[in-house]
Amino acid sequence: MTTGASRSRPPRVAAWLVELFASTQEADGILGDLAEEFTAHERVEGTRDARRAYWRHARHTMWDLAWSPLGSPGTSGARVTATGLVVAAGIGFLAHSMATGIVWPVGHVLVMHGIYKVFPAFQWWEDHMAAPFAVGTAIALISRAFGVRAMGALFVNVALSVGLAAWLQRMSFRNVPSLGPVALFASLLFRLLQNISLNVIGAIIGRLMPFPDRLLRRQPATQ
Amino acid sequence: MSRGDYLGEFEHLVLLALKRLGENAYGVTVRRDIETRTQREVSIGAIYATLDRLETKGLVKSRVGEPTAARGGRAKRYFRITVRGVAAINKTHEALRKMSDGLVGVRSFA
Repeated sequence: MTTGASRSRPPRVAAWLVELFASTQEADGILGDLAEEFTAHERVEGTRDARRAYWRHARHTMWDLAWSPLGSPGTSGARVTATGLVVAAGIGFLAHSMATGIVWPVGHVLVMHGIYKVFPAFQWWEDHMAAPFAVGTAIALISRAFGVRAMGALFVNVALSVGLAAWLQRMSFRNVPSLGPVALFASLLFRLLQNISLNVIGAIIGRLMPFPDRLLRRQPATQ
Repeated sequence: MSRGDYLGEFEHLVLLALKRLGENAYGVTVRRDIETRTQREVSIGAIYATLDRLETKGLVKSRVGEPTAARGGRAKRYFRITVRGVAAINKTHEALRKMSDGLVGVRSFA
């Protein structure tokens, strides 16, 4: 196979995203293989093409890893994903409860002092800017520490946060009868995208933090 | 034949690639072997997901190899087919041969 270092590095964001979908045991092998393909591609086609190919491979890899546990129950991938889902559901619930407990009083203070007139506190705090971000980070950290697939865990959390957002939205619009179904749908869609993106941003930051690996690093099984 | 010894189409291809590649079977080489021979685009993720499943069935074993600069300092994960894996290939071939025997317009599976 190819030898020697590449002139440039593979796209870091793509690598982080792939790592979200892989368990700790799989990540080294998969990212190493993708990096090796990148190096080989770069020598022949140049950096620009190699980066494009890396993104394509990364996208397909994420897709295949995300769906593989459904088709193969009982495998280690399915087991770590299932564990991740249970862990995420627990953390997600706790984190959402705690975050809501924090952001409601903060929102209240902002409203009491009229700060919301300058800065829309409800939109930024109570409408789940902080909660999905914190939960995404927490799930990424925990999943890394236990070697589970973070993205599988994140799916559950996204579902949780979207459900919560939908419920809050329904409560918010209960006293606004003039608002039609289109506006309600648009608002829900916005919340959905907001929650997912904040979850993922939080998870990426959680993947970047170095300490969980040091705390509970699990080496791949050697023969 | 136990339930775990039945091979899906992609599992079959991956096992054949492992058998052909021998000691040099890891994600990149398996992917390239399948792509070159079948003209089918395959992702590293699909290879790993399948190898994970095959390892759970006991048809494949893995070991961690050496990290290289070309891999950004990450170690290779080598795979090798087990005796059970070879038996699973042979059983699948036998089943395919029996099913295709005597069918008009279908190439016999030898």
